[in-house]
Amino acid sequence: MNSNILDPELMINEVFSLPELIRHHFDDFHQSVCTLLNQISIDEIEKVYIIGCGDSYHAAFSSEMAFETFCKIDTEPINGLRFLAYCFDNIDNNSLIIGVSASGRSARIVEAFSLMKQKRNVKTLAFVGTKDSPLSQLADYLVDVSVPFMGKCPGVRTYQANLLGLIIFSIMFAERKGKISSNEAQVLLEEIKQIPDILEDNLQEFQNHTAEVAKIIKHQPVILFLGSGPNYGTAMFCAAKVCEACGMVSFAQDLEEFAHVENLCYPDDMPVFILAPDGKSTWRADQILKFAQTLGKQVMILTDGVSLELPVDNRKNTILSGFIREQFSPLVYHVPGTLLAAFLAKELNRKLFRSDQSTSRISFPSNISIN
Amino acid sequence: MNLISPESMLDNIKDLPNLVEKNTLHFSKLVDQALNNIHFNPITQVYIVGDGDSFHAALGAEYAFEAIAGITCSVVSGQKFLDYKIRNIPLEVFKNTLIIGISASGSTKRIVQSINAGKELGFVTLALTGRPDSAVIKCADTSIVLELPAFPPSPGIRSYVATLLGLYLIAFKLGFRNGKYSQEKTDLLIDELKDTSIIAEKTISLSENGAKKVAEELVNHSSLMFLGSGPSFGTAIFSAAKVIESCGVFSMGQDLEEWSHVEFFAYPGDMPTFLIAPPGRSFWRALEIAEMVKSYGHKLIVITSEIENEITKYADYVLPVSHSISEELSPLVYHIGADFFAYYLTKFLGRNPFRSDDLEFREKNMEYQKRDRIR
Repeated sequence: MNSNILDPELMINEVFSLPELIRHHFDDFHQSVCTLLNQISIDEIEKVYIIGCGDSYHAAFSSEMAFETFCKIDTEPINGLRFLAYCFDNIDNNSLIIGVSASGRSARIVEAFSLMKQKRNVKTLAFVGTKDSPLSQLADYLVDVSVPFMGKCPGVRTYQANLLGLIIFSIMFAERKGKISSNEAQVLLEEIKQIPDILEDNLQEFQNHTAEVAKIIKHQPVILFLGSGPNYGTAMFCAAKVCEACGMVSFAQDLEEFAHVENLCYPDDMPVFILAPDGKSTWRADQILKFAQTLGKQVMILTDGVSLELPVDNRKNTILSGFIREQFSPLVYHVPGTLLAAFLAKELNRKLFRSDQSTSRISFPSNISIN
Repeated sequence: MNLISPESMLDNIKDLPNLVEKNTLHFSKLVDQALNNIHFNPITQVYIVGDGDSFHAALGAEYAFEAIAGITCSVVSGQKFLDYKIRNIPLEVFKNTLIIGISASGSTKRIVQSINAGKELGFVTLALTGRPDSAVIKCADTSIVLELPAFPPSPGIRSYVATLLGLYLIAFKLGFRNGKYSQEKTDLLIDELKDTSIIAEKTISLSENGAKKVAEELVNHSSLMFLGSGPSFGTAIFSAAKVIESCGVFSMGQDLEEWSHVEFFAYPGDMPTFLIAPPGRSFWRALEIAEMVKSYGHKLIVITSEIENEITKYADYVLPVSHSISEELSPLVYHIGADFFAYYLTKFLGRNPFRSDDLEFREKNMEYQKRDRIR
C-alpha cells in the first residue's frame, strides 16, 4: 500500500496506546507545569482564555470545567480565528492566554500570539507538542506536552496529551492560587494516575461495542454526538474524528440545544451518541436520552451506568466500569467515539483523511502551518 | 398543535422592516427603564444566557457589546450556565457583572432557573422577553418586554430580530452609561439601528428570488452547512436552525476556521455550503474558505454585500444583502436569505414547520417540550 494512504488501523493503535501515554508522560507534564508555575506570577490572573483550532479547540472545551471548578477562575475556550479577529481588542491585562497547538504551528494560534506581543502586560502560555516551533518562540511561557509520534493519523494521542497537560495545569494552578490545598491537589493527581487502569479495563469492551455499532449505523447519512459541560468538548472531538476518519457527516451539539433544535431533524432513526458521565448534567442526559428514544432515534450512550435508565438495545450502550470524576471524564469518554470513527472507516472501506483521494487541505496557503 | 403553514414564515420575513422601523425607538425607551433599575456602575461584563434562537441572537450581538460598548461579553447556553458556569463565577471578582437571560416565550425553563441561580448568588439579573407576565419577568431583578403583535405560529424570525434589537440597545446604552461615548453618539447608534429597516427591506427584494432558485436546485440534499465567524457564527447557527425547524433537513452551523480543520472532510462531495460573509474582520478568511469550498466540489452559496465581487466569483449562487451595514449589526439582516431558503425548501419538499403535519412525531415531541416550559 502507498504509505501516504492512511489505514484506520492506525487510529485504533493510537487509542490502545493511551494508557501507556498517561503513565509514561504524567510525571514529565507535571514537572513541566510545576517549573512553569515557579516562574510565573499568577496572583492577578482573573480570567483564562484557552485558544485552539480543531482538536485543540475541543481540548479547550474539555478542560474548561477543570479550570473553573478547581481554580474558581472564569475560563473561556475560544477558537483561533474568533480570538484573532474579534476578541483581541478586549483582552484585559489580568488575563492569561493559553494557546494550544500540538504542532506549535497552527496558523491562527501563531498569528494570535504574534499579535499578543502588542499587549505586553498580558501573559501568554503555550501548550505545544513540539518545543522548537513558532508558537514556542512567541509564548512567554511554555508547557511541553510532546509525545512520541506514531504516524500520521487523526489526532488522538496529541489530543490526549494536550488535555492531560491542561488538566494537570488547572490543578497545580489552583493549588498555587490557594483555591485548593496541597492535599486536595495530590488526591486529584492520584485520581488521574488511575485513569490508565480504567482505560485498560474498558478498552476491549469499547472496541467490541463500537465495532458492532459501526456495522449497524454505517449507512446512516448523519451521526450526532451530544454532551454537556466538559463533554461538549468530547462530543465535538468525537464528531471531528468521524469526519476525519471516514467523511461521514457528524456533528456535535450541547444536550440542551438538541432539545431546542436538532430533535426535529430527519432521519427519524438518526444515530445519537450521548456522553453521560456521572456529573452535573447527568439529569439532563437522562431526559434527553428518553426524549431521543421516544422520537425514534437510535440512541447510543456512554455512561458509568450509575443513574441512567439505559436504552433497551444493549448492543448500542457502552458502559464504563470504574469511577472517574467529571472534570477528568474527557480523558476517557472520547475513546468509544474515536474507535467508532475508525470502525466506520473500516466498514465503509475508506481511508483516514480521505488520503486515497487528491483532496488536500494543505494546498491552500492560509491553512498551512507556519514554519 | 395545529398544522403550521410555511406561509407564516414568509409573513415573518416580510414584516421585518416594519418591525425594526416601528419598534426601535419604543424598545429603546423600555431598555432605558430597565437599566434605570440597575444601580451599580460601571457594568464591565455581561453574561448572556439563552437557548435556541435566543442563544443564536446572543452570539450575534456579542461582538457589539465588546467592539462598540467595550464590555466583556460571554454567551452561554442555559443548561451549561446553570450546571457549570454560574457556581464558578466568583462574585468578588465579577461584582460589576450583569446577567441577561433571554426567552422570547418567557417560559424557557433553563433560563428561568439560570436567572434564579444568578440572583441567589448575588448577581443582578435582567430578563429579555417577548411576553409580559411571564416566568422570567417574575424572577429577574429587572426586565424588558419586547412585545410584538401576534402572528400565526412559525419558526421564530420576528422574535429573533426583536431579541437582537433589544440586545443592541442594551449594549449601546451600557457603553454610554460607562462613559465610553456621548449621548449624541448613542443616539446615532440608535438611528443606525432603526435604519437597518431600510436595509432589511432592500435585502428582502434582493434575495427572495435567488433563495427560491437555490431551494429548488438543492431540494434533494440531505445535509447542509452554514459557515460564519464572529457575529456571523450566530447567524450561521440561526440559519441552520431555521432549515431544521421548517423542514427537518439536517443543517449545521460552524465557524469558518473550524470548518477548515474538520468538516471539509465530510461527504457528500457536493454538500451545499452557505457562506455568511459580511464585509468585516473575518472577510479575508471567508474569501479563502470560499475558494476551498469550491475547489472541493461543494455547492457554494455566498451571502454577502451586493457590492462584493471578489468572493462571489467562487459562488454557485449569491444571496445579496443590501449595502451597507456594519459588521456588528449584520446579524439583523444576513439571515434573511437563509430564511427565504428555508421557506422555499419547505414548500418544495411539501413539508410543514416543526413537522406539524406529522401527528405521531408532534405528540411525542410536545410531551417532552412541555416539561421544559415554566408557566
